[in-house]
Amino acid sequence: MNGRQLLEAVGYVNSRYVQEAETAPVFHRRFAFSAIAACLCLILGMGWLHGQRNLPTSSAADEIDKPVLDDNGTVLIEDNENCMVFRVETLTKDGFLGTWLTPEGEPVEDGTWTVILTTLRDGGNTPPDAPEAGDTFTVEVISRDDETRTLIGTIFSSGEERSQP
Amino acid sequence: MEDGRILDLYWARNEDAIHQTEIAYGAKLNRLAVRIVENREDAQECVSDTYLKAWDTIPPQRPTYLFAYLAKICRFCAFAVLDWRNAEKRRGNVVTLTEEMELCIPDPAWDEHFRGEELGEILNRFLAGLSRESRGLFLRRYWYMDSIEEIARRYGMTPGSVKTRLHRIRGKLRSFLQQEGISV
Repeated sequence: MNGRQLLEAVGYVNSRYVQEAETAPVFHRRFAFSAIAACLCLILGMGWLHGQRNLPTSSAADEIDKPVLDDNGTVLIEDNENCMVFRVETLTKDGFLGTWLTPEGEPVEDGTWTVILTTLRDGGNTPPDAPEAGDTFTVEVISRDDETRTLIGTIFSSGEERSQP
Repeated sequence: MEDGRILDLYWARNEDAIHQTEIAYGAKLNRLAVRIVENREDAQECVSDTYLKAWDTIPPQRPTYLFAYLAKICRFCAFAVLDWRNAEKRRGNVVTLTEEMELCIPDPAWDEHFRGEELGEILNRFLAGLSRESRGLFLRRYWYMDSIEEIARRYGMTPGSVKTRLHRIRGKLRSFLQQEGISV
């Protein structure tokens, strides 16, 4: 065994990891822009909602049913088709980053989807350090093909989730 | 063009598949090959071989990650070209990376029977235990063969911290390989 053999053997690692390393920088570059855009949308959205108090904050969340934050910092979001888990990996002042997982802990679909989740509490401009039940959030899901989905909803606590029908 | 449509072209045996592949990934593959062979003509040959092998293998293959699939072929081609053309003259970048990898090997005589794919599996288990960022740093350095400065720019870190992180990751890999050697 020598260094060259080990270096060549790196070529056999899982393609998912290779793709992940390739797409990660794109994710980072886009983060600032996407976070700013998401914040602006949220601020505008919250302003609009402020004038229409009767509308629930999760009204735009057609695809999200019951987002839940558990004690481990994992946000569980059920959409119309799948139950997916959002694992928080990095907390930043602008929100938090992580990965979509199945409830079994496997990356969702092809594993290349990345997520930007930004929370704004009580309509304020400063996102909290960590998500809490009641926070409104925007999830921007960006695929490696640059396809984006924006989902908006409210985080419920595990207890609330359990008590809901 | 999206990967799915390019793959459809391969499956339809439409030669435009290679053209579309070149448009989508030609520059990236070329950069990867240049880093290994350090010669533009050799690199171009590797990339051309990559297209050819992709054409020969898709179908029956339909890779989930087209770029990773192509880059893997390109990487192996580049190492083969390197061996063939430069047996007597080792390339600087590969020498540096080889020496860094050498530091991860607990014992040079260790498990000579491990080769290629088996080692790849061991590395997969090692990488699975790393954070996403650490895994990215490792692969950018030893899979994509990026320079320390390139990695630092990519991840918004200083070159010093990239070196430190890689040093720690290599230390972990060394320990991991040691454990594997004992357990296997």
